[in-house]
Amino acid sequence: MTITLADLARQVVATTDPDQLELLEAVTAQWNAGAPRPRRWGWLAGTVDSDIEPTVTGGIIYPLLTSTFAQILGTAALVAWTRRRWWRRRKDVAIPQVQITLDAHQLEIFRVTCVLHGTALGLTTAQATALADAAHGALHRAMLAPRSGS
Amino acid sequence: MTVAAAPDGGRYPAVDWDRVAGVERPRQLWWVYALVAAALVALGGGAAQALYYAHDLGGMTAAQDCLSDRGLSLTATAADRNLATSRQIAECAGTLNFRQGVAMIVGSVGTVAVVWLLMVGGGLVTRARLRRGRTPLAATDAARAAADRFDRWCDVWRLTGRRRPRLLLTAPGSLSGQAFATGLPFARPWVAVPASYAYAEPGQFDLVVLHELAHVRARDLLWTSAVWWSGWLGVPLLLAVLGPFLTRPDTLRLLFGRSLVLAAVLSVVVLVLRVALLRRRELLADAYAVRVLGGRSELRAAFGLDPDGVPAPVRGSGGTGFLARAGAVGVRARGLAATHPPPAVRADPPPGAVEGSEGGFAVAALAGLVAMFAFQHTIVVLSDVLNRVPHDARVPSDVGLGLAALLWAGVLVPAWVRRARGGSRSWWGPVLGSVAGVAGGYAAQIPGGVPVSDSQFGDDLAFSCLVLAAVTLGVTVLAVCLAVGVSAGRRRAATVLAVVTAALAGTATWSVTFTVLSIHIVNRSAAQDRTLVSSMGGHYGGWRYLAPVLVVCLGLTALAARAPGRRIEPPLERGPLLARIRADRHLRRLAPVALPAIVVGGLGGGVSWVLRFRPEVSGDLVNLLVHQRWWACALAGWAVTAVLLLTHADRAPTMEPDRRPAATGAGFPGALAAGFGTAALAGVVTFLSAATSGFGWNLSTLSYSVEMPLWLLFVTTVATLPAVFLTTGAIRRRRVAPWRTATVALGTTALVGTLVAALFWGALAAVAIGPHDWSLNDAVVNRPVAPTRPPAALPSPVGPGPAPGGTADPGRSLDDRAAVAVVAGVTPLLPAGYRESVPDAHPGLTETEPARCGELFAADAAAENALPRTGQAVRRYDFTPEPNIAMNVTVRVISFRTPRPDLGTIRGEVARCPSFAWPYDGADDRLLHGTLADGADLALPYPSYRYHQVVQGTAGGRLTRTTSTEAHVLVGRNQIVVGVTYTYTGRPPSAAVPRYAGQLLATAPAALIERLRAQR
Repeated sequence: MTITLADLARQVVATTDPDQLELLEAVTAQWNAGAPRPRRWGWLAGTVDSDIEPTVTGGIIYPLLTSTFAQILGTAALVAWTRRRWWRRRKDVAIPQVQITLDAHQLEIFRVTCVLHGTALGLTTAQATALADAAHGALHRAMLAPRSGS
Repeated sequence: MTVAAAPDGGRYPAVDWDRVAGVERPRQLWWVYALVAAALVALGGGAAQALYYAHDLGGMTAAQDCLSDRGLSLTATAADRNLATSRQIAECAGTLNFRQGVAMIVGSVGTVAVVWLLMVGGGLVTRARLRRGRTPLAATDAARAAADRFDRWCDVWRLTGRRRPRLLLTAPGSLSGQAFATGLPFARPWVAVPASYAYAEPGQFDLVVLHELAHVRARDLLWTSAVWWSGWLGVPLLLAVLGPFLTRPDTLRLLFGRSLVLAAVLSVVVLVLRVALLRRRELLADAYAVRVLGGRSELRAAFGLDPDGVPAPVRGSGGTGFLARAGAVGVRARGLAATHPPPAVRADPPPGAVEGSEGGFAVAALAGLVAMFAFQHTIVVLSDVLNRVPHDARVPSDVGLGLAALLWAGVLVPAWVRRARGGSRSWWGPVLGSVAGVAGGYAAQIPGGVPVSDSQFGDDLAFSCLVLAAVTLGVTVLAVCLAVGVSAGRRRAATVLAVVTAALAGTATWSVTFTVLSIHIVNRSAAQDRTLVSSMGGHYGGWRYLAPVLVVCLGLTALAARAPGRRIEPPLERGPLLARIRADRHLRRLAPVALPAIVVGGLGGGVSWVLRFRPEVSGDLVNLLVHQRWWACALAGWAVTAVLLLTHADRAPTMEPDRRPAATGAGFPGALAAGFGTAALAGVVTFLSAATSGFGWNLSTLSYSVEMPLWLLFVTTVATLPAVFLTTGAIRRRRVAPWRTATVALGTTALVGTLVAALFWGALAAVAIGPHDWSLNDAVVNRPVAPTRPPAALPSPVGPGPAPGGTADPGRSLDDRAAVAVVAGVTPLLPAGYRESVPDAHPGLTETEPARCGELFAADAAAENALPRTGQAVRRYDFTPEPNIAMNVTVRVISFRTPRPDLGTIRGEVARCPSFAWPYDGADDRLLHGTLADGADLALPYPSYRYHQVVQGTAGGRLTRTTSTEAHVLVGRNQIVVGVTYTYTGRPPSAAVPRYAGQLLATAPAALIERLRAQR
């Protein structure tokens, strides 16, 4: 089974929060341009912030998926997929375009791992479970798709 | 969220807009602006002084030269100065001081402008980045709905014009990833919200928008920026103005090390206080959002906590081992630097955390410190600027103290009023903070500036600061009592009146303290101190009208402090006086206390005067009787205040926390006003007693009879209020049953009677009035001022020389023997015990930085040595005028074959090498640093030139400084050189040493010329 992170994210958001698809597009475009690195401007002192981070599915989906896959597949593997090889003569692969390949065992442990990472990212258990279920379903469908096609 | 009957429609929940419109905005921190502005003004003034000194912008060398000629020093302390020397200092340093005053004003304005520009620059950069962070999502339906919601929030609080913030939805993942607000002076604030919030739970959008609107409405955006830049500016500003010293780190450390350390410490304190203040403002903004939304569920949800559950548990340290303890320390340190409290605290803040005010130890100490910096800045600027025009010497000091007291009271009294309304905190922190801040701010110097305290009190600084702390304790307790008193009501006028009263009290107290201290350290006379304290409130003391104004302010404060809605009982229109008193609740409480005090105090003073005064009595006795008369009335007023506070301790302020804010201290302004009223009426009774006994109906006497007791009562109140404050707390803790009216009346009578009797019998002589104060003070004031004399080792250098009128040609050629005889002509001018020697020939400086100076010195020395001469002599005379001061006089007489045309060589060296350094292994930086400067011309009918050389270096961190002045005179073929040098390490010499040097240089060349004339 192989699927890009962008497709997986789109399917998860379409399942859990379909009204956030336009937000997801903007987020994907941002991640395609490079992983966002939020900057704080404390030294300018002209701002008073709230210290409250928004937790919307469209915004949190990529950190959730990348951290989950990094644990399942290994961080080195995930990073290696995004690296440019000198013999390939192409640029780095953006995170959303990384193709994820899982076997059946990895798919089994994906759901539990995803819930753990979701709560670590600030989601409630219910929210994290809903996202994990949606992602697990999408991966499962992707796994079944070639089989039904053959 | 309160749901209205008619939903608003769309994705956002309906709101009860009418209820929301009534939610009070968070309180503003205007006092931070006042403190920041005052601190920046002082900082700028200090930096200007440092700049002025480091670059010698005002001609300090010339001023010092002028002073040396008069035997004075720029560093003369107050004890060294008298009327004559002050005039001479003004003549020499007047221009210098005026320019310095102007430079300090420019520096203050410039520093404020720099911070302003930094604030504007920071705001502009933020806005530029925000413009780059725009997102195409702003055009979506969700974003439009969010913008409409934001506008609705702004509309409900009628935020229009510059007060209406602009919403910016930022691209997800860009910028800080959080909602924030940013402001610019005189421009609309911007509220940046990540576009993700437009898709989040609607309550989350409302929460962050309301949080940021709370900051906008509380005007938090600009003070955070101003305090930030002020905190960072101190040290760089000081280093920037000290440019010439940056290449000489040891000198920099010695001369400005204290300033730099103080600036760094203050920067850290300011930045730590800023984040502490911000943490409280975040809680306030959260509370505002919670009030508007009608519950905490959204806030808890935002932090991932159970919206309706129990408060989140606070995590423990996780163990007791070393690592756990180290981790806990790290967490605590990180918490100190965090601008936001932890989520668990924000979701469920502890009781009192939101309502608390900012008047605790730290803010009180900072307010006191900045107030005293403002005083130091003002007194220096006004003294310098007014130097050119005749003015009362007390004006700069009193104006500075007035501004300082207004700043101090204006910041602290409103904060303490809010603190008192909270009612659950102790007053020890604020009181001690204020005392420490004022005393510390006076003792410390403004970074870069000259400490005023040193020049005022010199060696007595520690004692003076202790006295200042003691009187500040009294004024602080007075201010706390006023704040507690007016906290029961809600009228803003009461707070304003309390601020004015506290500021007046502070100004008068500090002014009198400084005046008395400055005279005390000279004369050390308790009698004079007592006389001064009482006379400061008299016709010529300057504070004559303070006490009456205070009485009016206290009365108005007491009226305005009444709780709203409390009915003021109308007096009975008719009926006997007793019935009317009984009908009025306040008079019912006051009458049994005040009436006995007025009668006993007033009649006691009057009868004492009538019975004891005789036309033939001495001035001492008249003075004693007059003062005892005033003091009797003042003590009666003090007794009334004390009895009212002690017998109604439930309404008196204490140091202890009290959870009954409505009742606590409500009676204090009234009790104080009653005391002053009693003293005034007792004064009238005293006057009437005396007048009816044949002493006449003089209006001036009546005026004094009222004013002086009021003033003495003010002094007594400030001195004793801390003790009363503590006593009321003790009484309240013991829960004493209410006193009966008759008991109170009898007790008051007994108290006043005891105090008056003790006064008349002299038991209070040490603090009130002594039996011989008049003559003792007279003796001190009219004591002949001993002329300032140099130390025994320094006789007047205008000593017996050869009688003028010699007929020999002073310009003739001399041989060595004749030259030695001429050189010896200086010895009558020298102090006894000098050591004569023939100095080694100085090799001269060749290796210097810059190198051109060494080359110039070597070339000039070679050229001079090449001049053919018929004879020469050189002698050096060493002596020790003061401990730690090594002084020598070097005299050279050189007779050339042909006359030297002029002294252009030495003039050229001074002009071309004003500053240079040369290697010296003994110095910390392996260098000695020298400066050359022109001196005043000698009044001689021959070509002459005088210049100053200062050489300094540090060894083991201690500065050693050598000051030389050389006078060169060309008399025909002869050149006379007289050099006076003194060296010290650490403490500079007294003014006598430079005075002696200046006088010796003025007289020695003339004496040597006379010796030339006399010899054949």
